[in-house]
Amino acid sequence: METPEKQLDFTQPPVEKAVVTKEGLEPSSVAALYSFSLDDVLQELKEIREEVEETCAIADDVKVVPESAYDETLSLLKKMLHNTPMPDIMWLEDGGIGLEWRPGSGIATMSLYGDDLVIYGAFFNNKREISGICALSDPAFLPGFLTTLSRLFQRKDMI
Amino acid sequence: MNFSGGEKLTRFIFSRRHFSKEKKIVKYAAFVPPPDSEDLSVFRISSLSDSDVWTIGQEYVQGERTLRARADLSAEVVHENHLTVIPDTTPHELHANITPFPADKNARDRIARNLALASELVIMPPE
Repeated sequence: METPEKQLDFTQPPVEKAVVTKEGLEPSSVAALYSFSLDDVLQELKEIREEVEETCAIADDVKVVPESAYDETLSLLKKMLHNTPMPDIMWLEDGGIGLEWRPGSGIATMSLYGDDLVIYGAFFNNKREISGICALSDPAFLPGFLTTLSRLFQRKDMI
Repeated sequence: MNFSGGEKLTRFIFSRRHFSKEKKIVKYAAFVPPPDSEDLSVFRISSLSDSDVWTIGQEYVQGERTLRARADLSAEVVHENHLTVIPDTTPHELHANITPFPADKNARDRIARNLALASELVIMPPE
């Protein structure tokens, strides 16, 4: 079963606190859009695992996603819970897990294959592009990209 | 043979996770080639009606999977990414491959991002 997609409005800056009413999140509050819960991630990964199993049973050209790729995705997303919108999470035909954001008319992606490496890249509206591969535990490149990604969603002038 | 930039191509999509109906976008995962392959399967659709395109998808590609959408793009975008479109008339005379995708995953993801941004999502109409 799939969860409905969360609609994000990247044109609005984040605010400090979410305003919660009896009916739920105040529509004018966008803070919740710049964070997501671990439960959301776990549910998404559970659904992806099921879909990959079903697909691999009937398709020859799809590689099974190793369990380590799910673990690494969870580990990576834990680092992003409070300063980045929930990415679209997807399986990749070549045996990976993909994360995708669409800030403005740009795109940012991260791919994980369970080999302790993260393939990351982003293309911004202003034609600026960054990409690379680094270890999940890399102390410099990965935090740098995550910071860029976070700023991307908080400063309109960067997209 | 490298097709003209005006040639229209389509990539059939089977996973709901590889596109967003609400955002009207194709995700980069739709353009990640199969494991250990430098080819991405597409069809040349310039000469076809919309219904003919879906018929090809259902009869020649779908198999046991469920066809949900397709990503239309021009051959020009493929060329801009230093790839070519090579005819591969199995299983259909209009089948082709976008090739050669590099083995390097960073370069491959970059191409997948570019193709996703340049493609147009077309949702499978209800039966």
